[in-house]
Parts: sequence; C-alpha cells; structure tokens
Amino acid sequence: MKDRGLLPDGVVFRAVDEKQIISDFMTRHWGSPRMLVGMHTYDVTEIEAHGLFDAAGDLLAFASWKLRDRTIVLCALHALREGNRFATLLLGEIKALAQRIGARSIRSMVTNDNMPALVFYQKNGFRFATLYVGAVDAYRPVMPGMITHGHLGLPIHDALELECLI
Amino acid sequence: MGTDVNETPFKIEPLTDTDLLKALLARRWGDDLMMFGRTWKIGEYEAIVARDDNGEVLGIATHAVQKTTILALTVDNFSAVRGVGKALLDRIAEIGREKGARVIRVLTTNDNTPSLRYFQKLGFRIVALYPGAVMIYRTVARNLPEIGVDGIPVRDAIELEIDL
Repeated sequence: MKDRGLLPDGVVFRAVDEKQIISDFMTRHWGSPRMLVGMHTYDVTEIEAHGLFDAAGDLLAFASWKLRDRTIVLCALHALREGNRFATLLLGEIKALAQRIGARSIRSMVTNDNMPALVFYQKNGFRFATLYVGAVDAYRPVMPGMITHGHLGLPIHDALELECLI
Repeated sequence: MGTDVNETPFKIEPLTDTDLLKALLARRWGDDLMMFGRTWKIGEYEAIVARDDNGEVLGIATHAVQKTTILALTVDNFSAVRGVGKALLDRIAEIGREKGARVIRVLTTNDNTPSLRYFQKLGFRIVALYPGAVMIYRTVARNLPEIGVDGIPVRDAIELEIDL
C-alpha cells in the first residue's frame, strides 16, 4: 500500500546536499555524527541523506540512510523542531523512496532510553526486530562524544532495532 | 485537616486467599494465567498484597522463582497511594534474596513504553526481546488485548533485569 501523504504547500522532499547541517544536528543531540545501526557505524556525512524543505529552502526534517542489500538502514531521522508532523511526513516519503528503489524493508535503530522514538516508529508501521544489549557501550570507542545519558536522564546502553516491511 | 491520600501508610503481606487473588487478577488482567517465558497457572506462583490500615487492598504482586531468578510476574497499584508498586517490587526483591535468587526479572510488552521507562529509571536493564511472543501467548491466554498503550498493537515481550 502506497504510504504517500500529500505534503503541505511549499514543502518539498529532496536529497540533502549540505550534510554538515545533519552532522551538526547529530553532534548537538547525540554527541557524535557517527551512529550505530546493526553491527555497523555510519557517519551521516558519508551516506545518503534526504529531507523535507520549506518554501524558503530551510530544512524541516532529515533522514540519513544507506541501502544494504535490500534494506534501507535508517541511520537517523529527525525533525529539526519539536513535533512529529514533519518526522511522520518524511518517514512516509522514505517509505515511498524505498519502494521506488526496490528495497524490501527499512530498519531503524533506537537507543534504550528513547521512548518517544519507540512510540513514533511503532505508530508508523515498524515492529521490534532485534535487541543488541550493550551495543552502544561497545561501539563508543568508534563514536567518540556519543552521549551517556539520553531521554529523561536514562543511561544509554543498548540498541533496539525496529523494522518496517515495504 | 485532611490527610493526603497519596501518603496513606500501608503494609505488605502474603496473599493466601486464592479466591480474592483470582478476582483481583481477573479484574486487572482478565485472567489469572500469567505469561513469562512459559505460562504460569494459579498455584504455580505466589502473591503479596499491600493493604492500608483499614485492610483495604491497595495493590498486589505475583512472583515465582526460577533457579537464581525471581520473576515479578505482575505488580499492580490499584490505588492513588504513592509508592505501592515500588514497595511490592522491593518486597519481591527481599523474597528473592531469602530464596537465594541473584536477579529480579520483569516482563513488559512492546507497546508499554511507560513501563519500559519506569523500570529503567529504577535501574533495570533490558536483557531480552522476544518478537511475536505475545501472539504465541494469545493462543492460550485469550484475554490479552490486541491493541495496547498509544494504540500500538501488542506483539512482543521485553524482559528487564536488575541484580539483587
């Protein structure tokens, strides 16, 4: 089923050329522009990036991703401001993109502290797939600066993977 | 000058009245058949109850020991009194220590992010994810809801653990 909601007036979906914006956002929020998904880490400036832009050309939300086999590995998906509306719309565009490029699934990594993301992905068709206990801790040496505590001060240790079938 | 109901004193004691236990579990969970790795029938687990000074039930919890793990099968605060859930959990931890357990383990479901947050704030670590476990449990415990917190379908079991 095509999950392609209409974008609001003036909002466009396209590739992000200025990846430094994404890198800076990641560093500000997570302490690191390098993120773990599965057993690999990805630097957001080195992989694909798409986003929603408003009529003035400002970035509203971005998704950093890489195609591995037939799976879109979602390294990061964030709205630049509070509120899920643009994150949800962007996720819909990513699902449509996945379909266009022949991907079979999308995988997203959420850290154990991140309840809002767990709700967001599950409300948008993602299911729990894998738990990597202590993975974030294990990969800290290759993600220098990665924060130790996240949402509501919970310590970050584990990687939870959720999957959406296309 | 009234007393804040949230600060009502209470005590925890074993719950041996099986009929009362069945009734309370049925009202809260729709069943007295538990799911935690395997199914647990009434009689296969033990229960404790929190009562106020009038003997009113404020909350209950059920537990079972499996080798060196004590499982907190259910922990429920039915009242507005603060700390009942935590006190029940603490008593289970105490019982666990008495029985030689080294860890206490709890189970929640994929939809229950409030529960996931609550246990992690207490220091529990996520130790296991069982995708689809609830769908299997549903074949025996037919009262398990299809849709849970935040309208999310209930499918998976997540287990958390803390050292005693």
